[in-house]
Amino acid sequence: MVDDQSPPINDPENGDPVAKEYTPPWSFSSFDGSDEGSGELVAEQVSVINGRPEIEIETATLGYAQSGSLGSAGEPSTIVNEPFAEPKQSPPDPSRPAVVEVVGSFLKPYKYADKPVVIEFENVTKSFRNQMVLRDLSFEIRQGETVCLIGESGCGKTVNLKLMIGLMKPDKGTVKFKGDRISKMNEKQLTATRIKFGFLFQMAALFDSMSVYDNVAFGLREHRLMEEPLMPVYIRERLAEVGLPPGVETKKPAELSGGQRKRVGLARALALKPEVMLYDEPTTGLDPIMTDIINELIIQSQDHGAKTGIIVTHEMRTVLKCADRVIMLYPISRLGPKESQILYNGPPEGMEEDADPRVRQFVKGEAGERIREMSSARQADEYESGLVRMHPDDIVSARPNPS
Amino acid sequence: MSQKSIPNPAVQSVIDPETGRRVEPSAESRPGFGSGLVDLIAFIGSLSMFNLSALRWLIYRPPRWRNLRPLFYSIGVASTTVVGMTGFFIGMVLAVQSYHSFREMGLESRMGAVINVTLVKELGPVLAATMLAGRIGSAMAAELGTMRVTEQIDALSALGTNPIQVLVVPRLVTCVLLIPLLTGIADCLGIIGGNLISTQLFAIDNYFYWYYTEKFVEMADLVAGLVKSVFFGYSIGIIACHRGFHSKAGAEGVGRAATESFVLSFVIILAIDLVVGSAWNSVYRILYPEVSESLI
Repeated sequence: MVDDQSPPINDPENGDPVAKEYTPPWSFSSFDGSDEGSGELVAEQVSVINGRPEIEIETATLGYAQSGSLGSAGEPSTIVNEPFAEPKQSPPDPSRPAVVEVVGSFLKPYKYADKPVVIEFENVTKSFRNQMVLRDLSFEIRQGETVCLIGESGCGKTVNLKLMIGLMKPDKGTVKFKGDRISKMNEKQLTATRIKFGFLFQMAALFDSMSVYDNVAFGLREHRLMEEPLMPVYIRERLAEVGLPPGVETKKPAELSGGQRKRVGLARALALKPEVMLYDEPTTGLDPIMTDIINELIIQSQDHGAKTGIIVTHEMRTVLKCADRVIMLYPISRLGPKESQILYNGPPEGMEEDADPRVRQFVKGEAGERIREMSSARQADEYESGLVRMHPDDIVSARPNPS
Repeated sequence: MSQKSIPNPAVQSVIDPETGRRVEPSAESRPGFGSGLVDLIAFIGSLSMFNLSALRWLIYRPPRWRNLRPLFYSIGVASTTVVGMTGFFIGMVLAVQSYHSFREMGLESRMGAVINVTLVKELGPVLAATMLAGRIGSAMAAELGTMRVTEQIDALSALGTNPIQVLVVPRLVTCVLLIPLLTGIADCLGIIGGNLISTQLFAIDNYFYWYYTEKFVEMADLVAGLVKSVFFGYSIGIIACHRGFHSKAGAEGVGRAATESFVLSFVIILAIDLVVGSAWNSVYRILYPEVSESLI
C-alpha cells in the first residue's frame, strides 16, 4: 500500500525520478494518500517486477486526483481502489503477491489537499434567456489555492465569479461559501460574505466620479472600518503595494492608463483585506511587461494574505505563473449531451500533455479544428437559407456603367 | 443568383445546449401583442419593486451628506440657469400670447393675475419638471447606465454595499428636495419675465399688474405647484435611476436608457399633473367651499 507518510520518491539529491517498489494491496483512493482531497502523480512506467514478470504496463503519465477519482489523465482512472496494474494476460496468483515498480514517478501531496473547502459548486446550471452557459457544473476550491478558470469566450467563466459573490443566482444547483449557500443568504448575510471577497473587474470598474483615493477608501468608509484621519497613510500604503507612485491619489480614473486602472482596482479590493480574491481577466488588454507586473502583483497579494485566488483568464502566461490548479471550461453549445463542461482540472504543467485534444489546442492557441467547423457551419447555413455567396468582385462587376 | 428564402431577423433561432443544433423559437415565444403586454407588466413590476427597495433603503439607511453634496451641485446648482431661463421665457411667452385676447376684452390690466396663476400653478412646475427630466433625468440614466455597462454597479455590490442605497437613494432625495426649489426659481423668473413684457412692451400699468396678481394668486396656488413638483421630482428620480440600472450593454443601450428616461418621465409628469391637480382642487373645495364658490 502506498504509505500516506511516504515522501516524494524523486531522488532527494538531484530530484531525478527513481524507482520505488510497492506491494499489494494498493490503494490509490487519492494521490496525496488521504481518502478525500487531491494530489499529483506522474508515472512514466509501471512494471510488475515480482510475481508476474511478464506484465509490463505503460500507464498514463500524468494523473490528477480529486475526491477519490483520477481526473483527466485518461486511462489509469481505473486504478482507483484497484491494483495499479490489473493483469490482463493472466489472472493474478494470490499466493504470489506481486510487487509493482513505479518507474520515474513521484508522489507529491497536493499542498492544499488538507485545506478546508472555501467555495463549492454543486451541479450548477445557469442560462440567459435561451442560452445555457453552465450545465451541472461541480468543483471546489480550497483555502489558499490559486485556481485559474480558463476556456473559450462565452463558456461562463465570469458567470462563475459572479455566482460566487451572489451577483447572480444559479438556475439549478448550489454555490456555497464555507458551507453556506450563497443564494439562500439574506441581504445582511450577503453583505457580510461579500466583504470577505475582493473582486478585480475586467476593466477595473473604478468609480469614474471619484478620485483614486476615494475609490480605494470607498469600502473602508461604507463599512466604517477605519477612522478618516488614519486613511491617508493606509491608502498610500495600498497604492504603493501595487506599485503606484505618490500623487496618483488625486487623479480621476479617466486620467489613468489601463495598467494603472487595474492596479488601483487591485488596491481597492485589497484594502478590505479579503479572504478570497477574484480576478476577472486581470491582464486583458495590457502589454507583456504590464501583464507580468500584474501577474507578480497577484502572486504577491496571494502570498501576503494567504488568500485564496480565482483567476479568470485567457492568458497562458498568467496561468503558468500564478495557478496552483487550472479548471478549463468548454462552451455548452459545442459539448455532447452527457459531456462534462470541465475539460481539465489539474496542475498547469499537465495541460500540454492532456489526453483531450481540445485542452492541448487551447493551451497552444491552435484553432485548426474550429476553423474547419466554422467553415462547414457557414456552408451549411448558406445551403439552408438558399443564399448564394457573392464575391466582392461580383458586386463591382454588377455596377451600372456610369456612361 | 437565386434566393430561396430570406430568414426573418426578428425570429432568431437558438442553439439547443443539449444537442448543439439550431432550434426555431415556438410561436408563443415570438414577439407580438402578447409579449408586449407581458413586457409592460414586467416593467411595471420591476419599477414597483425598485421603488419599494429605494424607499426601504431611504428609511433603513438615509443617505450621508458626503454622498448628497456632489449631487446637490450637479442636480441643483448646475440646473439653476437652465431652469431660470425656462421660467423667464415661459412668463414672457404667456404675456405675449395673452395680451391681444385680453386687450380685445378690455381686461389687459388683469393680465398679471392670469399669467401668474398659470405660472405658479401649472406651467411653471410642469415645464420646469420637463426641462429637469431632460437635463437631470437623462444625465442620471446615462450615468447609471454607463456604470451598469462598465460593471461599476457590480463593483458596488462586490464591495459589500447596496447599489440602490449608494446610488439611487441620494439621487432620489436630491430630486425631491431640489426640484421644488428649482420650480420656485422658475416661477419667480417667470413672474419677472411676464411682468417685463406686460409693463415694458405692452405698457400695462405696473400697479394694476401687481394689484390683480395679489388679488387672484393665492398661497394655495403656489403650494399646489410646489406639491406637484415634489411628485415630479420623485418620478424623475426613480424613472431615471430605474432605466439606468436596467440599461442594456453598449453605447446604444445607454443612449436608449437616457431617451426612455426622458420620455417616460414626461408622460408620468403629465399624468401626475392631472391626478395631483384634480386631487388638490377637490381637497381645496372641501376645505374652502366659500372661496371656491366666489371664484366661480
